[in-house]
Amino acid sequence: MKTIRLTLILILMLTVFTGCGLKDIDKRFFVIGIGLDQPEDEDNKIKVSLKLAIPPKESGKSAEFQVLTAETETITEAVRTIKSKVDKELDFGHTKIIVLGQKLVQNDVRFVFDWLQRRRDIQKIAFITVGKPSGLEVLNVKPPSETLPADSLILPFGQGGVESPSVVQQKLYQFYQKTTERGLDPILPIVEAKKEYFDIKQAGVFNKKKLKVELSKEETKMFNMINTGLEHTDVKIKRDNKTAMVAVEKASADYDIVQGKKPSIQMNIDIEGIVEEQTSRDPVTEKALQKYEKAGSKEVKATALSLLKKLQKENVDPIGFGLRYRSRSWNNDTEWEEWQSIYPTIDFKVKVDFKLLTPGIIK
Amino acid sequence: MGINRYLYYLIFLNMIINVVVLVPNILINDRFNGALMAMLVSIPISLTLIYFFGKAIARFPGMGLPEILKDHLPKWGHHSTLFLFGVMWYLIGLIPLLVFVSIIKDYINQDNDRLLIISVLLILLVFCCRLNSKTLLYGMEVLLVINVPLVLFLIAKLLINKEMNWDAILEIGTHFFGIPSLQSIAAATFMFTGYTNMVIFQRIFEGKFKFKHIWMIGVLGLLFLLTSFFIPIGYQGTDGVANYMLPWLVTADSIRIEFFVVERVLYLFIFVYISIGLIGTIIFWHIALDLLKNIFPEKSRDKSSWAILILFSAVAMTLEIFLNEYDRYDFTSAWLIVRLFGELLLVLIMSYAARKKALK
Repeated sequence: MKTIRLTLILILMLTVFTGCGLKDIDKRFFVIGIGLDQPEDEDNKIKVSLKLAIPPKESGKSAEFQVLTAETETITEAVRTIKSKVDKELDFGHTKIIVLGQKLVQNDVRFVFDWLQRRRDIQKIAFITVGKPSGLEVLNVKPPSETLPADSLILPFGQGGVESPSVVQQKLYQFYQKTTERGLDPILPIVEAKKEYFDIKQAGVFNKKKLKVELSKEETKMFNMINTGLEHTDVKIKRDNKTAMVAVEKASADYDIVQGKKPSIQMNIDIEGIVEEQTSRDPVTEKALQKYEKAGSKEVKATALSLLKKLQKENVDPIGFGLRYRSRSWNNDTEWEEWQSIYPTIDFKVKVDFKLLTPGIIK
Repeated sequence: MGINRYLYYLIFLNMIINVVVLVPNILINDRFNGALMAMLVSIPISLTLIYFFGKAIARFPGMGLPEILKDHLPKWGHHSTLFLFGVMWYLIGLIPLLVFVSIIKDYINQDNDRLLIISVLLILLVFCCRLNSKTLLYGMEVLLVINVPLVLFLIAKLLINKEMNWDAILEIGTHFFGIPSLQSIAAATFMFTGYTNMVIFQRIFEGKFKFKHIWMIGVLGLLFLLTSFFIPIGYQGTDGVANYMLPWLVTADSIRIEFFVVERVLYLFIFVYISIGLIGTIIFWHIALDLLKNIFPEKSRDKSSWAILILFSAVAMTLEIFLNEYDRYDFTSAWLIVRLFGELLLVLIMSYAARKKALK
């Protein structure tokens, strides 16, 4: 009796759970990238581009994709409009990259995140970036080396592919978190679309609402060094007309906020590296090595200070000094106001510990 | 380890399923107003209750609550207490069930009907509740052995990730001094209440178990409380964490495992918590069923247990139809408070019965 009962239940379950939302995989279009742009028509608020992956019909063929665009007032409507242009169901479960157009981020972009965060099928670990000149153009780039659609756009952000020190990695949930967190401002990488490749070397800092300031390549590297620490980067050292490149093996930074009459942020940067190249023909003796260390720490200090001052001038805080201040202060009611009055005038003191371990194979 | 380990499994089960009983939601809502203090206060309260409960129940080796009450309370008192606790245990299992239905609908198959999902789950639950207590404990052991390593892996993965913002956690730490609300105390004490399941399972222990290492329960409970409270804050921020209906689900969706079958940790999370949560619901409803059917005369118990189970399912479906997600939250937080007083009442009744027995 019991076995019969159990079998009946199992059969019943089989009929109920048919899986895959009752739509076969060949009846679906996988959206791998979403591009969001300023619309050309003023009546609309947003231009949505979806990059759809087309599975290769024969093995060995390279990645094919299709980009469809719609302009409407809300993202949902745009997606509906695009839906009417395709024959298969749109599936956002594999959306890996979201590109915000350069023009869109000049104004308040927070309304975009309402849709992205509210939709349950969009992964919160999708990477998000700013696209130059526009999101659509970034999605349209087709590098010849691509084996899967949008691969070359996704890989630089995950740790799976190239490791570039000037790529800021931000996931969807991180950006959203930083739009509300007091004392931590959003930052996004900036992807520039070239003819057959992407150039990712800059970053843009937001003031919760819109893009406030763009960081240069060196500043972006420095930001990464301070924010997460870096394992592979390089420093260019200039000393009496000679130039040397240092391959950095480890770079990290920590900071403290010193309170008192004249509050300051004290930052210690530790860098360890080896000489990779120099223009001078003189051998790198022990003395020369020390001179390079000295010049290197000066260089790094200058870059760090210029980055910190630039951020301070624009009153943005992507590193999270404000949150650090809040977390160390017990005056919970007033700490945030205090910090807002301190930050514009706070002093930065940077100490760099620059260590060159070896000149390399040759002296 | 001996048979005593099942007691710790039962306690451990409650600590793990707190996420689906919305304990973190309630605590996170109070994060600026004494949620941490509530956790701290909950430990002595719970440990005292465990101590007295353990002392009282040790006097009734091999007996369940229905038998204990039958001997030491008048008939009306006996029946109304059984009814009260039966309803309480029923509701404790109902909340994770309702949460699962919305998780399954949202994340596994959006095209399924909510009623269809809940009916399938109910079929499973109804049949499993009727298994005998021993089988259930064995089943629970197997599921815990499979899932606990995964839970620990998830927590470790979340903790060592660089994206976890420790400053956000410390900031909430500076809000330590605050007057805790009753709601958050009730939510925090839920972590420790696994021991109350002994009111039925004590029967199969045949008096061979002891409440040992109560301090260990306190330490473990505190660790689980801290992780389930702080990890969402570390990922979603001190301010942003309140924007989510289920902060833990989004947090599980915030990390990725690059070299695994699925990259989205969310699905691992859902798999683990649905299997642990369902065994929790089965155990709670098993107790509820046992308590309620003892109200009826011995002859008609088999029939009445079916009637009770049908009633269980009907109430679950009705609530599923009528409650939206906010109602479910309010319902849960109200129920958690009622449960705290119910737990107090249970310990009082047990101590009273134990005293009466000692005097005899």
